[in-house]
Amino acid sequence: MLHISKRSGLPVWKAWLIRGAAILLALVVCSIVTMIVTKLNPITVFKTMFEGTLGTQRRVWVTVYRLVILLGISLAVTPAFKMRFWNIGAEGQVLIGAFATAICMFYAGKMPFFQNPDIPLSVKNLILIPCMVLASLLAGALWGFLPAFFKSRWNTNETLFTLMMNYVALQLVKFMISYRGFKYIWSPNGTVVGIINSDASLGSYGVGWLPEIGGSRYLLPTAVIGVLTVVLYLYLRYSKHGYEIAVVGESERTASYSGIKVNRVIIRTMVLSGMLCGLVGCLLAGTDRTLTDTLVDGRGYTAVMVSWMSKFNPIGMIFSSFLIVFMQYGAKEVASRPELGLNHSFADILTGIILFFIIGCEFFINYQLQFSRHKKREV
Amino acid sequence: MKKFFAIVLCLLMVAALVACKTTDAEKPAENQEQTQNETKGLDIKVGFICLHDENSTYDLNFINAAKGACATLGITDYIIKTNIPEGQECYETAADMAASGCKIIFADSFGHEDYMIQAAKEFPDVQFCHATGTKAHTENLPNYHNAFAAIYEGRYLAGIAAGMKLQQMLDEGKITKDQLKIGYVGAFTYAEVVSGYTSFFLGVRSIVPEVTMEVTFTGSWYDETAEKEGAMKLINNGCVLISQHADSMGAPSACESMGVPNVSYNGSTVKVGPNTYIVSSRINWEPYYEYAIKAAAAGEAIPADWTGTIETGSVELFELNSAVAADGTQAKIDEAKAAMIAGTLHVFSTDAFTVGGEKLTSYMADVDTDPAYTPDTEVIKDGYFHESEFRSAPYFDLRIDGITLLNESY
Repeated sequence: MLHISKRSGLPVWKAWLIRGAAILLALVVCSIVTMIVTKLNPITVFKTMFEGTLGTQRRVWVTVYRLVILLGISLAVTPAFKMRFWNIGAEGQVLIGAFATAICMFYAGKMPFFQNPDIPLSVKNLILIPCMVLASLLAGALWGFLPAFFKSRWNTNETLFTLMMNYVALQLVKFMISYRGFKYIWSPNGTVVGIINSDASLGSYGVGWLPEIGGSRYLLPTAVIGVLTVVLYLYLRYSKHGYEIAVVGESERTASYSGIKVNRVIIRTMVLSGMLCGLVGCLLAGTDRTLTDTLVDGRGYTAVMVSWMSKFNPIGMIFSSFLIVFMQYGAKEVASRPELGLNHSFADILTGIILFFIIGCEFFINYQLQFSRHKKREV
Repeated sequence: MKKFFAIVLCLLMVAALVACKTTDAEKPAENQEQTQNETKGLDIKVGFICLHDENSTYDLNFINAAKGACATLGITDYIIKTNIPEGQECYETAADMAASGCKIIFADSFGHEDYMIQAAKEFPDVQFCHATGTKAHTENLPNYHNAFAAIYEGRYLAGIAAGMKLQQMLDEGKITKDQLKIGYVGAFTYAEVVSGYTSFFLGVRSIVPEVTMEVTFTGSWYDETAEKEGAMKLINNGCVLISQHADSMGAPSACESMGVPNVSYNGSTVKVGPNTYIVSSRINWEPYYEYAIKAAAAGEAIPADWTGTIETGSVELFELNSAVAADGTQAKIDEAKAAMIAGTLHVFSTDAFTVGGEKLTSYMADVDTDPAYTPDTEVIKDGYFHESEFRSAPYFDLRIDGITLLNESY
């Protein structure tokens, strides 16, 4: 019969070998499904995925941008998860950060100072961008603080609380960008948010847009998240805060016995998580120069998976983020080729298969299967 | 340990097997591609961006036109991207299409406009064509264009079919004259929708002068539940015929379940409503797609605004559902159509409607989109409202007498 037992300390290289095998197996299953269901050559499908994400220089940049945004959110949720605080509210925290940023950009664009064409754009942005960052940090912090405060004070369920906060943020943004909300609250004459401050005839053109470095708007977010990755790695690994987080995560009782103020750590860590999410929201709104309800596009939830898959290791997250971005957007490319004749649903099936294997393989890393000998003899 | 490697090796073998098999299968596919290339017509890569997918009548209409135009012109190298929201995704998609060699890119939804303009600024050598947009004639980009069709003419003709049906119901004694109220489910209070329901109403009124109309808005282009509920509300209010300007099957299916005649838009919904569907008007985008693609391939300039008409084949009526439509409807429609082409019938003739009880002699419409939304153009001349002439997208936004708006919140 089948016997499952927990593995004790699998070597790292072996764990990665299992993961690699899982991806390979996933591709095989994808190929078989593709051949059976669509009668298409799976190599063509994978080639299309590759072309869709890394086929041109532009796509490489876009893929990098998507990667760093997903990575950024994953980094942001990690401190909370390491503390065993089930924060699934990244979606809302990022969105509310983006919302705060967009509000700053929009209203600044209406102020006489920012509309004055005689003041150089760099001066305006030097004033506005720090405000945007601050606003997004505060908004994200608030969205992180509330569930943590309620948890520490009344022991509310943080999973439900953070989940609900996502919907609050999402519906708030949905209302604000709807025809009605936009008209009545932001601009009585407007119809859509569109690209903020994009009217070239006004002095406020380009106000609040994050600067393009080296001709690419995606370089700045990449640099910011790059620094963030290193900082967070060091914070979790070597700082006193990081240690406290780990201890609280292992056992709250141990933590309080050893003199750690558990509630303070919980609130502090969630505020940090929220702030980092808010910052990613600021990067999103400032780089895309707009606010929509699809700006975060479920990445707040995907980030939870990335964080877990990488065992809360910021460096590992780079790889898992890349893998997921590659799969998701490659699949979208597959769906858009008329010669393949597939629609979006098929691409989602492929992504589903691949994620199933990637998540499933963690089981084989943590546990081992043993087949008992008696059964074998019978056979 | 041994077992572990055995598993890994097995996996590798399976992968290799699959890979081998497929390389064999790849060859005929390549040949096929080559033969396709040889018979290729116009040598240009085209991109299409759609808000939803084939499940939306609005987008399906675009997708069919895109495929049709490419087939007619012999273009095999084209991309259709569906489910692109009205946000940064549109910019990313358009820019990606441009960077991967598309020479002309079309988008189909109003909210795509800003993002198309952003991409157009970044890729000056690529043509960006946006259906239903309003900013091309003021944005002054040589590679950014708007297009629309004089769909109000099609709506008017569909209105005639609805009017004939009402007349038949009157004659048969199914309804009395004071029950002559029809309903309309709209998405938003945009000029596009206002222009649409007004022209439809005027078409109905040209047959049954006593008719009134109620309009309700859903606040979404595609919300099956809201559209269904909207239609139900109108039916419960006593509306005896429903039409709609929203993209799901919500209103047609509500009409079918209640046995209320329905005039559709963008596509025939006869499958959903075999006993209630009368007719549908639609914009056929194929003429514009063919025109714009040809122009882009030849390096010719595309006008900032292009308005399709009945004559260009851009405004169409689907075949009447003879099971529901009244006798003589086709003749009436043909008559009005001929008069439109001859220029003797104007849908928005100032004799046909009043605003606040008064006949209009002058109206300044907001044709040039500016931050302050100021009315800027005199659109009433020679006794009629000149719709879709100063720019392709509709700007008729008058609230005429006889139509009651139930909610104006969108």
